[in-house]
Amino acid sequence: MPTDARRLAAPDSSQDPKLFGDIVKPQTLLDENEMRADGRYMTQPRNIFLQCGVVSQAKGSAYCELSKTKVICSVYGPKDIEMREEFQINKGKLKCELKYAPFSSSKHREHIPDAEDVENSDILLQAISPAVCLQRYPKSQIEVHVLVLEDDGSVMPAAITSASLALVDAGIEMYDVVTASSVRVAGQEACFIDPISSEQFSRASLHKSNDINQGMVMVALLPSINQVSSILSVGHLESSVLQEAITTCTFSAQNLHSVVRKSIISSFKK
Amino acid sequence: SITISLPSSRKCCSNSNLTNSYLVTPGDVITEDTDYMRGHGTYSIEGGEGDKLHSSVAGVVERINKLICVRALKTRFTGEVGDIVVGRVKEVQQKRWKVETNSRLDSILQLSSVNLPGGELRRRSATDELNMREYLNEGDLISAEVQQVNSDGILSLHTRSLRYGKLSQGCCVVVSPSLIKRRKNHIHNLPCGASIILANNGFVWIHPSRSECDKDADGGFLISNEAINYDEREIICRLRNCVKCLAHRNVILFDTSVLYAYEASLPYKVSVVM
Amino acid sequence: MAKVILGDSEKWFIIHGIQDDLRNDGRSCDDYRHIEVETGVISNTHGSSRLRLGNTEVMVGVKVELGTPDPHSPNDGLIHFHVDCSPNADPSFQGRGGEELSSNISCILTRIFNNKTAIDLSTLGIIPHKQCWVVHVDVLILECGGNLFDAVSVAVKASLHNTGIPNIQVTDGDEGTQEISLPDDPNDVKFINTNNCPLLVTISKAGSRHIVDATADEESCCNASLVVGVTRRGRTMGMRKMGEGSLDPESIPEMIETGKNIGRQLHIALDKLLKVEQGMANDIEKVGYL
Repeated sequence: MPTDARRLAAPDSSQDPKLFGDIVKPQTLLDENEMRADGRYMTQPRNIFLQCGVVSQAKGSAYCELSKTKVICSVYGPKDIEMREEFQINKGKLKCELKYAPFSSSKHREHIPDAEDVENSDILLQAISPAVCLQRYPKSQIEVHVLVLEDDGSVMPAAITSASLALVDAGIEMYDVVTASSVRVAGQEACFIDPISSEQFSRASLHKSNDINQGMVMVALLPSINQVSSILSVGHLESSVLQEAITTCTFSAQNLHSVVRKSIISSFKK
Repeated sequence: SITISLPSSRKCCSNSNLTNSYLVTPGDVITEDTDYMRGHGTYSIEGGEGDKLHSSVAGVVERINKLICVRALKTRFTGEVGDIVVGRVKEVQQKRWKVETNSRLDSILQLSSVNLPGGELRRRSATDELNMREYLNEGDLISAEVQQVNSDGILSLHTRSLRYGKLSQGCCVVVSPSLIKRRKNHIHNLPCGASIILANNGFVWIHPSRSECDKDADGGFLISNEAINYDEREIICRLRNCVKCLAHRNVILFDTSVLYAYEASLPYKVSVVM
Repeated sequence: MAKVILGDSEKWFIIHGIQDDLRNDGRSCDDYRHIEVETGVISNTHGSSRLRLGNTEVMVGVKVELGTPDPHSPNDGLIHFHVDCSPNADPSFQGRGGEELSSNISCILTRIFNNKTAIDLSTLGIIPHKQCWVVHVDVLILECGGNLFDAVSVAVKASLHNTGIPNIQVTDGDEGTQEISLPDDPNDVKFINTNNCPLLVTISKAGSRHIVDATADEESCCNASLVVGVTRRGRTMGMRKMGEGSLDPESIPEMIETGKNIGRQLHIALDKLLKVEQGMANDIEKVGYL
């Protein structure tokens, strides 16, 4: 829809009004009963819902829901490459786009992709490309579009898992499915699996004194052939804590494998 | 351990063996004498005052009888028939390969001017045309000889000799073509245990010495990916660093200069030669 | 990215060399090339540096300006990274060609500085909710010879170390407003504390071994690498897998450990150099871009 930029003079940047209210943020991630904000234990992931074939016009599609985090993914292709420069003679090209719907997060998202979106798309691409048999699709390209409908933490793992599911649904040859999981590290031995937004790491929520060993780790796994396809961390972590978190993530991603398999099989039975 | 230094502590050595008098820069008047003939790297202004000969590149003035040329110090390769070149396959086309040879334009290797597996006298069939990529793919290095220089400056190459063909394991150093000394032989089996091709176009290919007898069977297109043993590899790495050093200091490269550098480097570890 | 094209057999030669712990330039797997760093090379900046690592050449300029703080952290200053790949380095960077590489580098820099300790941003706050220092770190890539991430991070640390922020005075004005006054002396500055500033170490996987400080040739043989931000104490600050390949779970701890050790050595060497340079103060002649 064309807009009149001259008459609708919206401010360049706007802020969430909640930021200026006096909301007391909970200081701890666990309450007195060792429960998290949404009533889970520390090592308990959220229930996951996966479904294939949700977009009828795409070659393949998938939907992933982790309680309030909702992600939809569609795959188009393999098809001809439009741009001459990207042409590869012996290998197909995978293109990924991860986009947040403008209303998905607490703050309003712009339509134009920002630096974070570009990075997320790149992370997604590198996480799923080891799983796709690209040499079976010479001279062609496969497009993967992920749209985040609602963001309540752990968007990246949901995006990776649903993207691999959509690729399977599209009948693309793959070495393995990709499952991913993330944890929030808060202190020496506290790994919160599958964090929600309020549990996610952000610099603003930290005090200088408790900065060490606060962060997030994400791992994407090819569960059957046991290869790590993506690994991501942020925050100030000791290497032993980081490695512990990686192990936790890997384990949790491994657990997802059976769920993913089940949802693929059930989509074919329909 | 990691070393970090200030650039100001870098030692500065200058090559003072080149006297400035022979060097000209673009626009310099070489001669005002009209007797001379205009060669490469020079120009004269038509109808200007006198028929002054100007230089159009920075380089050394060369005079052959009445012909004056200026040879640029930094230049691209201008091939002559019979030159040995090493090049990288850039594109596979209809019945020919395009080869990057540090020349002005990409060189061409025709399918008809290579030895295909199965002997020299084999007929080329349509399947050969389809399988061109199996013989030479994009990125592969070849050694070849200049067969013909076309009028537009494109070089036609051929590999119809057992000396030439696809290059197997080894490493390639690219230097300025002007640093390679023209000699009768450019392919050397160095006594230190490795072979070196100092190609006319400035590509230097260093590879382990292997018996050549197994080459004729497959035309040199089958390449073993077996690992090279450590000692041989060390020699190759040392040679590579020596060639890089010599080129950095603008020393003319030929088998003896490379060998001298190699012997001089022996007391040092390979990694510190650079 | 500026891609080097290599034939298959050359790649095998490089990979076998890595397996034998003898790389093409004679280094072993965890050897680093020699680095040259110089700070204070650009007069119009508050801090700058120039770095050369093998064929890689990077220039960093830091500018500090006044701005409004992020409402999420009203007391803190801001730091922004921007990377530009000059077409000088490779003609393919012309136009939008270098965008992918530069956004990759700036994102990973943002990632490793995204915590409280790397740079203490509270020292950059001036008036909560109203005014703060915004530090713009602009990286210019002049030549790519492999291992860009590490080179950029070293140059960024050196330039931040060199950055002086004017000491400003905040005085209470009329009706609860506050006024800012700049010092008259341009040398009246405080330096940014870079003690906890992380450096990036890229560990590239080739065959069954991993290498640090890969050259452009070697980078084209490795299809997966781990980029880790490491502090002087050997802690990690952000990490990311790069490349299209996958990693063996067993090899990840080793790679992190290598990154940690190399990162520490890199910090020690850089700190030593920066100290030496500071001690020499004005006695040395700047080489500048050469």
